Amino acid sequence: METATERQDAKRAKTEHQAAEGAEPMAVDDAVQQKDAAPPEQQQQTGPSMRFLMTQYYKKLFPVQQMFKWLCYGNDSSHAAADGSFSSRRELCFTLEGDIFVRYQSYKSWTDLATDLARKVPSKIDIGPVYTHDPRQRAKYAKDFKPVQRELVIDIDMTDYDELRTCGSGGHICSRCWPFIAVAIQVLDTALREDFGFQHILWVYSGRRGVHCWVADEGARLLADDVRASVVGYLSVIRGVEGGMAKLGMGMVKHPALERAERLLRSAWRQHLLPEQCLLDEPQHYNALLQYIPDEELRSSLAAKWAKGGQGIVPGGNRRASAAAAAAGDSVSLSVRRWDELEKAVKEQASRLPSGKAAKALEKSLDDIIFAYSYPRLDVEVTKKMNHLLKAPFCVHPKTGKVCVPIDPEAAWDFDPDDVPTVQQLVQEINEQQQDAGASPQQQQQAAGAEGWRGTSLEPYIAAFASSFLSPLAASSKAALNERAQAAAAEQRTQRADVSW
Amino acid sequence: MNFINSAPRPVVGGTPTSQASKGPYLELSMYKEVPTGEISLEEFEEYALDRLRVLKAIEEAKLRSKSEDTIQADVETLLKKHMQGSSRQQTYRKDVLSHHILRLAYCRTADLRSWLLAQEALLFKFRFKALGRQQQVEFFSSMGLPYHAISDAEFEELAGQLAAVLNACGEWDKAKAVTSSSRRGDTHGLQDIGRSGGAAAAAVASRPLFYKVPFQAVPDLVGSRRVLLRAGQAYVGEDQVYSLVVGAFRSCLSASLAEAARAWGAFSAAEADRLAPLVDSLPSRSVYGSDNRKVPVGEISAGQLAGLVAGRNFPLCMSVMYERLASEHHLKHWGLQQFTLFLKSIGLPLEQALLFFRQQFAPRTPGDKFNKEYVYSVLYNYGLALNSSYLLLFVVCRTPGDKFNKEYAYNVRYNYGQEGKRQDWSEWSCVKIINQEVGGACAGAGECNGGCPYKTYSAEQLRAALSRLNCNDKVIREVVDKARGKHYQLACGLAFEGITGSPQETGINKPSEYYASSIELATQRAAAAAGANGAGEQQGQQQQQQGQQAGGGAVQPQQQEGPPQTPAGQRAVAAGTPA
Repeated sequence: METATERQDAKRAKTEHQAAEGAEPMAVDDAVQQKDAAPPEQQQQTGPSMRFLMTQYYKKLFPVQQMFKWLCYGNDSSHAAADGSFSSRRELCFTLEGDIFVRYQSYKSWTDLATDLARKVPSKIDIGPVYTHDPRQRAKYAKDFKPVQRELVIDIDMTDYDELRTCGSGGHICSRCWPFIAVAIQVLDTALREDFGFQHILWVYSGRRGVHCWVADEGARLLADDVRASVVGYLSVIRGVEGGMAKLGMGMVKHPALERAERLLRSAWRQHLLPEQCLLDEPQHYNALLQYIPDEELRSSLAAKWAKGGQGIVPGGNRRASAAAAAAGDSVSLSVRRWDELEKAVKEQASRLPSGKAAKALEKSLDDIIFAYSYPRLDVEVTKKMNHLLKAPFCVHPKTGKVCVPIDPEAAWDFDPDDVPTVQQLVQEINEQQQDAGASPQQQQQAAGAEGWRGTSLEPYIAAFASSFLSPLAASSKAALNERAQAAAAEQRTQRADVSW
Repeated sequence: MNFINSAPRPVVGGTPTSQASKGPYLELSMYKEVPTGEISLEEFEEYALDRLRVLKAIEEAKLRSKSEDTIQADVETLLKKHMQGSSRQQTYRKDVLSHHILRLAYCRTADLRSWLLAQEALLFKFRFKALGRQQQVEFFSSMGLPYHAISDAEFEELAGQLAAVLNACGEWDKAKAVTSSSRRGDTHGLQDIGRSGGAAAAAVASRPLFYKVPFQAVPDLVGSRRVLLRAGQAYVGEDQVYSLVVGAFRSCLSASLAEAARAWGAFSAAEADRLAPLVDSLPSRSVYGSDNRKVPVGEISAGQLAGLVAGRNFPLCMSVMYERLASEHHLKHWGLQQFTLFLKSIGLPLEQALLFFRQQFAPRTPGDKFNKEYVYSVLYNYGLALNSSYLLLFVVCRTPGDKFNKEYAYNVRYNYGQEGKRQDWSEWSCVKIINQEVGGACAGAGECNGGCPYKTYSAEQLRAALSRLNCNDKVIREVVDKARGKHYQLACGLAFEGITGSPQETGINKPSEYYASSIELATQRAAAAAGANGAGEQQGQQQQQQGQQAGGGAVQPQQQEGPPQTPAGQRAVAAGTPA
């Protein structure tokens, strides 16, 4: 039921947010994106063409077997309860050169997929839902052709933080704005595990300015659209931005889930966001933040004081230097000191207020700031619909050449988007391997087979994908199949019993 | 689906679910059983329309973002007004039958189904919430849903967090109840029981119950963070079980609607001559026919129309058609139809209407053509026969006698009570206008063919049209939003507010209601201004004169005609009007 309005909605949502890579089946939009994105991350014009690199990538590097195994959920096995048609009902969408979208592709086996990838060399692969029927034959089934399952996905896009971050905007991402993403991963990952009880969660760097989350538990895959929307509602706090201020959907007393989020946010706030983003160094930044304080007098007195204070200890707020300074303990970054001042001033002022209610409201403004600045901002439309496309992990981002690699949520703070391997780098690594080995290229190619990524800087990512996502998932897929087989057997037994009666 | 044709049975609509229970709305039903028995065609239609009145009123209340409590009260009044029968049995029968009739009428397209599903689920929710606590629990357990209340041990473990969720929702009392009943578990509490046995025992009995359910079962509670979630389980308080019950109701109704959709073909074939057309027409029927408000204006003349348009008293649909007519001297059949009937309903007599249209069409249309094409249609709308004296004034019928007889005679006779019941055609309702097909080759299809501009215009067109009417910019944005959300009548009501500066409380269901509200407001303001100071009286007269002067065809510049926002504004207008 991919209706025109649906697509329009998605399109509107997209233009409103200037939203995510990957999620949108409209060629027109992507063309627009390209224009936006061009200046900061020019693809390497020197060296081999992107087309050549991508051909090499799909031939030798893309973990097609692992990806296919994931999307089959055990149905590719010879298990009695396995559903043989499962993988051929899953939609993949290719973006070919020139932003041509080829929707409704489906494959019976990983070798079919590998062959087609080598032939079509898509610049991007999107993953869609599993339908009632093979999407290639959708016309035949018309009204009965419906999506039946799909991972629960979440998309976070750095552009939604543009009015907050002090290091850049649009397609920009760097280690200084990564803390926004890292804390978002922490908060969401905890909520998905503890509150919703999901276990098979994959976090992926989108290759450019955001991250994607794939929840692959069977329960998550089967969620109806209205329940997906309710998950979004549960996880969202920021209801929009008006006049430079985020509108927060939380009251004086917090839901336990938000209490827990607050603990995570608070530690990230002083340790990472304040020092690395230097949120209180420059007047335009601290004035924006002070807007959240309802006390006019307090606002202006702090602003006046800070205006006299001049530059920070680390001029320009270099992340490494600033963080190093903080770590060394000899000095605390300017933004952190100013935050402490702000906190103290607010608490003092609150204690002077005659009414308890007004005091609480004033103190809550500190929480509001922390939530407005660091609570995860989701691109909600992506999550709400089962049939929304989202870029597959291990794709190469066409603009940056970076591979969409998994992120370990436990180590999200240590992830550096600048360290992510690019297709250029990986192809070079392979070539060097071949030269080192000294074997004839042909032999080498055969030896490498489908697993040419071994020994490259992509290997650790694929290994992590296999060990912390694929194998636990395979175990629970198998358990689910066993259960299904048992249920079917029990059913048969009762039927047989009926007959014998 | 077969209840219409099945043999009569003694009990109509089954028996109320809970015989023992009292109170007006206890016979809440999941509508699982298809009622059998006889029903007259009149009842069939009346029941369906009455239920639609309730559902549409709830929808509107929701769209106007009224509070839950207000809607809860509204629903009670609505049910009393529209759904109450002479006895409990009758009320129940009407409830069940009307539900099943609408199920049939709204089963055919996905849009209709989802509309009915949403509204019925809302109605069900409010009716369920109106039940007492005991009855809610009874109904909930009678449904046999596989959910169990949590044990004392689990309650003790989670009490703190359960109370925190309640506090976060602003339910302070309930949170207190949770914390206080959790404390009785420890030794301190046991001592208390020893001391005052009775009271503590009562507290034990009334410990708030929480049901542990998969979070998927209560999406509304999850989406608004009104439940505690742990490992995929939601802890639903006993006053929140409505969410589970409504969820079950929804899925039940959704399945029934799908089934009805499959059965529709057979039904419409079997009932092609009797019920199918009636059921078919229900979704597009206006439910406001019975209690329409009177337009509080007397006769107006053709010459006054320009002034009324310039005074921004016409709703957008009519003012754009007026402008089109004035500039292009042309309207298509359905547009003319819509416009004429509106003029008639605001008190323009037939001879004035003919005069007006003759003036409007004159510059381009030769007399003959005018007579042939438009006079007929004007007469038709006024419910006058072609053989009346007007035929002598305008030689209408150049159509050969045969053709006339064949194509028009039936309609004319129908109009004049010689076929069916005599009927004076009434104004088109907003529902009809909105559903009007306005497409066509004509460039300004909306203006030519009528229809509702909030539906047919693009956002830009709408913005432009509204700012021509000096509508407040902020309101224009809201109007465009509402129109985009397909709430055309609400958009129109908002536009009224933006144009006149005063809210339109009663809702607009016909273009003439917009006009009536606008005139009423102007009259009130004139009167208020007259009372405001001594000189006011004269100005009030001026204001009235102005209206009459406008009848002379003198179009006042728009900025001077703007309805005054305040008495001060009124004076400004009066002063700006040439004496």
